[in-house]
Amino acid sequence: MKYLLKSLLKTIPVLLLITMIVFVLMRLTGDPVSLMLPENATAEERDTLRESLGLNDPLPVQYLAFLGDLVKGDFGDSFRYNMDALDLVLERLPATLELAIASMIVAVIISVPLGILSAIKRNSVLDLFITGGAVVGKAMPNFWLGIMLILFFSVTFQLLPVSGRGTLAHLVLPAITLGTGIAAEMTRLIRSSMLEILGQDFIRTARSKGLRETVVVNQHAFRNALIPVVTIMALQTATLVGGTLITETVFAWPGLGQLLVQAVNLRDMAVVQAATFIIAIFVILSNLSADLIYRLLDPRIKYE
Amino acid sequence: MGEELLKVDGLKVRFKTDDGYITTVNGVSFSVKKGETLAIVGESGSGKSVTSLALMGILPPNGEVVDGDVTYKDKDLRTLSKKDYRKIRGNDISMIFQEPMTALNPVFTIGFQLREPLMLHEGLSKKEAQARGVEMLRNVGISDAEKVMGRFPHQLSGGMRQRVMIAMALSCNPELLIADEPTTALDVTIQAQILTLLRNLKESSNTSIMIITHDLGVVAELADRVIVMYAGEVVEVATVHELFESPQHPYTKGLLDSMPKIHDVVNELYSIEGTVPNPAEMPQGCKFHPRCPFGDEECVQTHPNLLNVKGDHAARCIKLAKKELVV
Amino acid sequence: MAQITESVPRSSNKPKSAIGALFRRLLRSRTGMLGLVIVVLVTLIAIFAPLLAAHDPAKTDIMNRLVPPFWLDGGNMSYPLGTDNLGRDVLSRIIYGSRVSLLVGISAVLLAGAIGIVMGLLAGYYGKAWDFIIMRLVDSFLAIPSILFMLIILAVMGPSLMTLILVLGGTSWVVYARMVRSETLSVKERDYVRSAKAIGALDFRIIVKYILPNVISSFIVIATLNVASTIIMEASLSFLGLGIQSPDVSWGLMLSDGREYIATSWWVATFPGLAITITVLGVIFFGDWLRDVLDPKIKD
Repeated sequence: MKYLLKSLLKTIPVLLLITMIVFVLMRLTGDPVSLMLPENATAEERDTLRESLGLNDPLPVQYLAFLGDLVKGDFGDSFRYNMDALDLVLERLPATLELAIASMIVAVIISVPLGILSAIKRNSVLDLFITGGAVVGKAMPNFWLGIMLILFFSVTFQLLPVSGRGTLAHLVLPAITLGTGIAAEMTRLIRSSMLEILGQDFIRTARSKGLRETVVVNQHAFRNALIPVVTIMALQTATLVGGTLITETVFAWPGLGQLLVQAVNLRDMAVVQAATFIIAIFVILSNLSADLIYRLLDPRIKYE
Repeated sequence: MGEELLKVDGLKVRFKTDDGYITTVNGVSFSVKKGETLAIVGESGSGKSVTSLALMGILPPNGEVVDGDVTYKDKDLRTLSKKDYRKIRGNDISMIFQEPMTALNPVFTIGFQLREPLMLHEGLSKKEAQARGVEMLRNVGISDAEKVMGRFPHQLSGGMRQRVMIAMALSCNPELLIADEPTTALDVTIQAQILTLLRNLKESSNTSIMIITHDLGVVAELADRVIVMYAGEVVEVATVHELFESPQHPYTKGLLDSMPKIHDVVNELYSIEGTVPNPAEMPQGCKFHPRCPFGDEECVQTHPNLLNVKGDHAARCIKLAKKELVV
Repeated sequence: MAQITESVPRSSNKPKSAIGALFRRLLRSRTGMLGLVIVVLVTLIAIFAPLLAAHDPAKTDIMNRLVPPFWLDGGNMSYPLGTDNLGRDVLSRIIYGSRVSLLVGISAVLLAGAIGIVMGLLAGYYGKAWDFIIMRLVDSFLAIPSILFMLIILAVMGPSLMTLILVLGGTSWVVYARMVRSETLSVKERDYVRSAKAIGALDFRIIVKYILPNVISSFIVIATLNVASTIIMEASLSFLGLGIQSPDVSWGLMLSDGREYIATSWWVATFPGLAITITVLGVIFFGDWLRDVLDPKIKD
């Protein structure tokens, strides 16, 4: 518990820095006034808005005001939807979480058995196919795979819906699209992690005890191989976020990613900010939980 | 003593590498008798560890036994089914390894790892296995055995871990214990303790021990008989007394001369020049000739056979036949 | 003992040229060779695009819209891979699209590498405050998916080729900074660098002479593999409408057009995706081979 608190405290500077980066990017790379007013606004109108937004204050003051709004959850209103940006974002969050979790499950179901299999059958034809498949999976853009899946399952065989959200059938293609992309990377990592572990002395010890090979591999080796894999899975949340942006657009999945992409296209800055922060918090939390799981898996790390 | 427990005949092991196959054990034959302690001696790279892994049937994936017979009691281990082989491993024949630091699985408790073979081979329940595990730990001199059962390997010292390894290897009362350099990685004082432990085992039970070492001090302390290996071959076989009294092979002599003796006031320790040849680039003829003080043209031409000296004492050197080497 | 001089036979170390040895190893690695062939081929296609393309990639022709590939009914050799919804030739667009992919991929990586090297040197060589600030920056960049930064910058600056390169380069410098920093830290403590410093060599000279040569092979490997991910990223952003804008041609942009017509005209989306996959695969194969040869210590 104490450790959890400590880790949570440690994320604060990172969050602060992120807010700072976002703030600087927003302020220095563009004049918010020109984005908020129509092209033909007069200089006077601009000045009034500038004053009312506090844009004439020194930058540090502006940053503090910005932080204050953040803490209150006040990102402003979306001009496209005419509603509070944070509410809008939170409304879309469940759809994205649903997709993310389903994709992660797909990724684990694919990568764990394949990664283990290719490690124990190292250099066999099977291994060649699995590692080859993983490289192709990495080289293939996610959205293209999604489109090809639509072509195959929805257009040609009409088995699954083309897009949208609702039934479980709607979830299948997006989850496979996003899941296989992550699985490609994870399979490679599980394979190399397993290979390293399988060469360790304690595996030889386990075999010398007369344990069945499945016990040696699935228990003695995999429990160890899992430790780096969990860390890597946490890093995959970043890929996952990038993936949801694209997958949601391909399948018209009404989630946070689709919302964010639209908002960026429309320069709906309030929504961009709100979505960015929610995603940042999500990523930080998942990194944190990975760190905790890591500690549970590896007894060598002392509990504090 | 007398009855053969394990018989190895013409064992040949090769490894697949990027540059083709290399043979690291080339026609090794020996036997281990019931209750005896056999030492296999040689520098690293002589094939002694590979031999033991081959006997256990746990060679790394790129290694394979290509020739020879391994007979345990009446069973031909090479043709045994995987399942039957597993029944022997850890049960009839068990093994302890050189590196106690890495030989135990870091994510499982000592108790878990100790119970494993007991539940597998003896069919004990978890509770019974726990009790036996504690008893085994006490037998190897660990006093707070209950506590240690709940610990993880990284919480124990190297010496403690090696004791745990020995307890684990002995837990199913094996007929043969293979100890691969059991003391090499340990501090000198801990070495002595582990050796004492092994000697007690030898004296108090009928377990045969095959100890693999490069340390002739360990040999003198424990062994009944000795096999000297060089470059994947047996170069000398003798009782421990014979070997120390009248070594026949120049390599054995070299090893003995390079051993520090307490009573000698020699300024410099002798050492054999050169290193064990790389298995991919074996010299012609006698494999030791490039490093041998007596090596000549004939040694380059002829690969010598193992020649009997007297009784069970044999050595692989052509000079022997010509009596040039008799000391 | 001394009279025995015959030594253990050693491996023959015939002097070979370094480049020749590299090439020989490349021939031995089938995937590495395949990668090189693909990379060279795509580069040639990009350079000679105007000579290879039969049509103007941006020229619309409503009379010939959604013509299928030549082997299907209604297809013809004038448009070997068919046309898109505006009647533009898919093959010509793929040929021209290679230019954007390579241009963006390579320049963004060079930019990222330049930023990363400077940051890594500042952090590693000058240490202290520099190190602290830069490493916190690195942490933040690692904590947040780079696509978020990209989206914010693109939202503010608006999409264009230049923005795209800046954005892609500006968000992927972190790997280089970390690599250069750790290499610098270890080189800095070596005796010859210390003595060079002691006799008053300029920092610039030490950096150029001792530190940079040590990072070059790692740099080449990371950069090559980075080109692969950058090409995918460019395609992704263009697909989302945030990258290359019409009438410029990008494989990602073609895919977004093709997505709309997938129900009727599969070829519009299929072929550009294939082009991306093959190109990226080639770069990855080549990069993996480079890693095996130049820098076995870097792992995934």
